[in-house]
Amino acid sequence: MTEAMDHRALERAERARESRMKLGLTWLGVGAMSAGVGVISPVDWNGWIIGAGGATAAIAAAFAWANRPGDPARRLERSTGARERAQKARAEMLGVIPGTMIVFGVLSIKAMTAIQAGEAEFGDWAMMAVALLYAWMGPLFVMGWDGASLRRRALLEDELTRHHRALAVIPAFVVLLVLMTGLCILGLWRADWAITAMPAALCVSGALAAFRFGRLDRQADAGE
Amino acid sequence: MAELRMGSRLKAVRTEAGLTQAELAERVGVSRKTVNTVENGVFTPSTPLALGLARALGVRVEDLFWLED
Repeated sequence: MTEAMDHRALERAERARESRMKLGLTWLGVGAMSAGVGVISPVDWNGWIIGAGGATAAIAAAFAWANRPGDPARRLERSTGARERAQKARAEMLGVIPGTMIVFGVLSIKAMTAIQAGEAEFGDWAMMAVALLYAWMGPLFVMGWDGASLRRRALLEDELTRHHRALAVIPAFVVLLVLMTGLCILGLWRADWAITAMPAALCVSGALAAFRFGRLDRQADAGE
Repeated sequence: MAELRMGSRLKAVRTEAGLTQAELAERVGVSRKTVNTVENGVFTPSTPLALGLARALGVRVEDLFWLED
């Protein structure tokens, strides 16, 4: 087998593995969202929704993990065009994350309300934890501090990336300042409302950074 | 002081050299998007990147970039 054929076979295998991993991640998202809907659902049997969502998410996570990048991916990373593939994968991830962050930010409001009222169940605490986790996720991807970005720093980091990072983080930081200032003032009047809205405010600011970074990345691809 | 604006012949020189954006990017060690945005005037390269692009194309940096009046 020639080197070119070997490379093509490697690429095909990698595309198939990546598709399986994305399918797993999509179902992980669906499962997590279903569990979230179960938490806020008023029906008596919402435990079943949470259970089914949680089980789906767990199975999907195991499936995605089983299809994580392995040796073929590492061999491809050393080949021509690896930088483009790595940056494309990051751009795809940043296309999905902001919407998910906003959804969890909104869902956290009900959970925080229940916690503030002293009526929280396990699902409310879990929802608050997930919302806070997601609030960090977008900025971590933008800053290149997530595990995958740190491992592939040589491929993902260049001058344009750093320029886009600055353009994405600055407006998000301004929005965060405005929201936190507003919540601080609101807290003088209704402290419980300010605390309730904090995870959502963090999610919105983080989502803005991720959205803008992804948008700049896509714009840079256009107009060759 | 007025804002300095940079002119570029990167696209013309690259095309003359028979290179694609991806090939030039690979030579310099940056992404194709970086080359694309420099060519389109969206992104102003740093001095090391400008020198790297010139070296990869076998020309002087002032043949690629200049200050516009």
